[in-house]
Amino acid sequence: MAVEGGRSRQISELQSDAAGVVAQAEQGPVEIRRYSEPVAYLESVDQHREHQELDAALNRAIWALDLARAMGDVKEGNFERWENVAATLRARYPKP
Amino acid sequence: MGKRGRDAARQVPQALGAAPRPVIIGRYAKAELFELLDYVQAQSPRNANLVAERISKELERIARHPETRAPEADVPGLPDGAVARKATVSGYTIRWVYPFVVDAEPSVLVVSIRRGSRRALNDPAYLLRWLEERARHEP
Repeated sequence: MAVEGGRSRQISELQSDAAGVVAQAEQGPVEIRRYSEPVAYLESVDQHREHQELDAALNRAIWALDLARAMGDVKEGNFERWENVAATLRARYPKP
Repeated sequence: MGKRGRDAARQVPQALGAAPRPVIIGRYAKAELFELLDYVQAQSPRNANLVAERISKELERIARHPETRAPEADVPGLPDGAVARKATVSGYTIRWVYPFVVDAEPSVLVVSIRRGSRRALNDPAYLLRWLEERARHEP
């Protein structure tokens, strides 16, 4: 996640100025640091929902592409019964 | 015997008695699975064997009960009447569609078997290869 300059706060500030940090997060993501390491990001409700929607859209896109490919394989006769594949798996990845 | 015990007792014969549906996998999903397991085998042959066994067992379970998992919402391109589902075993996610009719027989179509919840696509190198592959094959 990219944050703009100045949008980084120390974890101790969450205790001393929680309202201020949250107000800042409403304007854009805030990186929370412990010493010099980022440990968390705080984001607004709108941004969180946007991320969830993007995540769901990506999931749908992956399903759609994979499904189209799998159905295309079946249509062209390029498929196998799983029993055969399982037999190959047993031979190819044997117990050491 | 408590309620849970009675429920479990009822489920055992059902589990044993369910007739397995045919399970099929397309060429590409199969190649992707082997590619992944080859990679695991190069790190640890024992892990590759364990993962292969667990995936096989899970698919045997799916063959007997292809409708026990919650349907995936809003999957574009599903054939009429078919439902998309997924299950995760040892960190590998199996996606399938059922019923998928092949030769007039309702079958389980395995759509993909990947490491992670989605998402071998977390790896940028894999994503690039995946997109290049799509670009070559998709109309």
